[in-house]
Parts: sequence; structure tokens; C-alpha cells
Amino acid sequence: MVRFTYRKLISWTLLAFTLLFLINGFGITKPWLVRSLTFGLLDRALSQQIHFHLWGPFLIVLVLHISYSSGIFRR
Amino acid sequence: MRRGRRTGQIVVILLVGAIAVLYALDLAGNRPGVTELAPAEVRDYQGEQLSSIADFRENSIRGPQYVNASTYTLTIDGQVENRKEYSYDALIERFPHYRKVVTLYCVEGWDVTILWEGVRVNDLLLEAGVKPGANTVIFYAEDGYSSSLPLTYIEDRDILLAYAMNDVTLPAERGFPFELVAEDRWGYKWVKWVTRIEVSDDENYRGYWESRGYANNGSIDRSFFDQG
Repeated sequence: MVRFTYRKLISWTLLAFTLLFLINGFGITKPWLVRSLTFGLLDRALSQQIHFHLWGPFLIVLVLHISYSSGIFRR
Repeated sequence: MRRGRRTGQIVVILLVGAIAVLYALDLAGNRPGVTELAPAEVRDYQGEQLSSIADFRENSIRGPQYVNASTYTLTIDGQVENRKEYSYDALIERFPHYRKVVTLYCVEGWDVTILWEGVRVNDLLLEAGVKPGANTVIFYAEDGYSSSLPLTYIEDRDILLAYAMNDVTLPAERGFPFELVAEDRWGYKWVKWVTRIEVSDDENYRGYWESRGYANNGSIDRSFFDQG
């Protein structure tokens, strides 16, 4: 059984946000590619909106990830 | 050691809090010391409901271009008898002004109905004198974007080079100083930040999106992938 930890949750969330950031970035600069890869789900306008709104959650998770990894929250 | 960790935890919590506050301010559109004022745009014209300037989605290839009106020049060249160059003021003062309500249909699925005001492109071409054999008009933008339209389309229709929308001077995001109002054509034909108009005899010229697969015709009653 995989033991649930906040550290793991934050790590996986950060990975998801990073990938989302990358995909949306390409959705802005290479809309054709991303639109076809996501079966039309992610067009340029949506990519841009997500990209512009993701920085806050991304930074928070990044700070938490660094903090957990450096052992600040270790008991 | 324990004390250092405690300090670290406080710093992290403060940092996360600060990011959250900045993010909330950003979402609310608030910037300290700046008060957003609604533009004095008209929202209905002769009984017709208009969209707002804010209803557009920003989808230009390199983001909004901030063109300086005092140094701006519109060049008209190519297959013309007299190459022309106009400053922003000269263009607006020299030619008659027209206004009409036209709807822009974007390939992304949204549309906006706006009261456009500008000069007729055909008036500019008449002054430059189109040479026989020319059949295409190519519009170039400040950001490197370009698109073309048939010369007959420009001559037969009152196609505007707009400097105002809903009685408001075009904002930079909408193409200041001039945006082409290519009515009945998909949004990618509506060139913003126009800096050059080239009259050409190359009817196969393909602009930025056309060279990437969009239809050269760009008519809204046909698919924008329709190459026929």
C-alpha cells in the first residue's frame, strides 16, 4: 500500500502544474499542434487563459515543494 | 536547529500568503493606485445592439503592438502609379470618414458586432493609382503579420481601414492605429496594426495563417479550411 504524504501530493501536483504550464505555452505559440493533440479541447484562447491564471497556484505549490524537500516541515 | 526550522516555516507561510494575495489581486484585476475607468464607447447604434471593445479575445501572433502615432507611417506600394506614405494625422485628415456596423467572426467560434469608423481602403488605392494587371491587395502589420484580399473585393465593397470602434479610438490591443475591417471574411483577414498596403499581381500570395493552412479566400460562408 502506498503511504499518503503531503510531500507526495505536493510533488505530483507540481508535476501536473508544470506539464499544464508547458502544454498551455505550446497552445499559445503552436496552437495547431496542441489543438490536434487534445482533439480540439485546448484552443489558443483557452490555453492563454489557463496560462495567465496558473502562475499563482504554481508558485504556491513550488514554494511548498521546495520547503518540504528541504526538511523545514519535517517533524 | 529547531529554532531555525521554526523561522523557515514562518518564512514559507508568509511567502505563500503573499503569493496568494498577489494572485487574488491579479484575478480581481486590481493594481494598487490604478482605477479602471469604463471606456466611453457606444453600445447601440441605430437600434442595433453592439458588442463591447472588451468582448474581443486577444489572439494576435506576438501580442499587442504599441505603435507610436507620432512616428507612424502607412506605406502604399507595389503595383501602383505613385508610391504613397502617410502619417497617422495625414491619413485621417486627408480622406473622408465612414462608419458602419460590421460583425467580426473569429475562427475560434466567437463574434463581435462593432460600430467601425475609418477611411475607405479604395480611396487610398485610388490616390495611389492601381496599375493594370494588379489583382491582390496585401496588408502588412507591425508585428510581421500579413494577409491578402482580392482587389475586386476592395473595389466593390466599402472596406474600411478603421481608426475607431464604438466611437473610441482603437486601443493598442485592437490594432491602433489602424485595423482592416474585412467584412464577410474570417477574423484572420482583419489585419491589425497595419503599416503597409501592397498592391500585387500575385493572387496566390498567402499571408501568415493562410500559409499555415487557412483558406486564402477567407469568406465566412465557407469553411476556413476550404481551399477551393
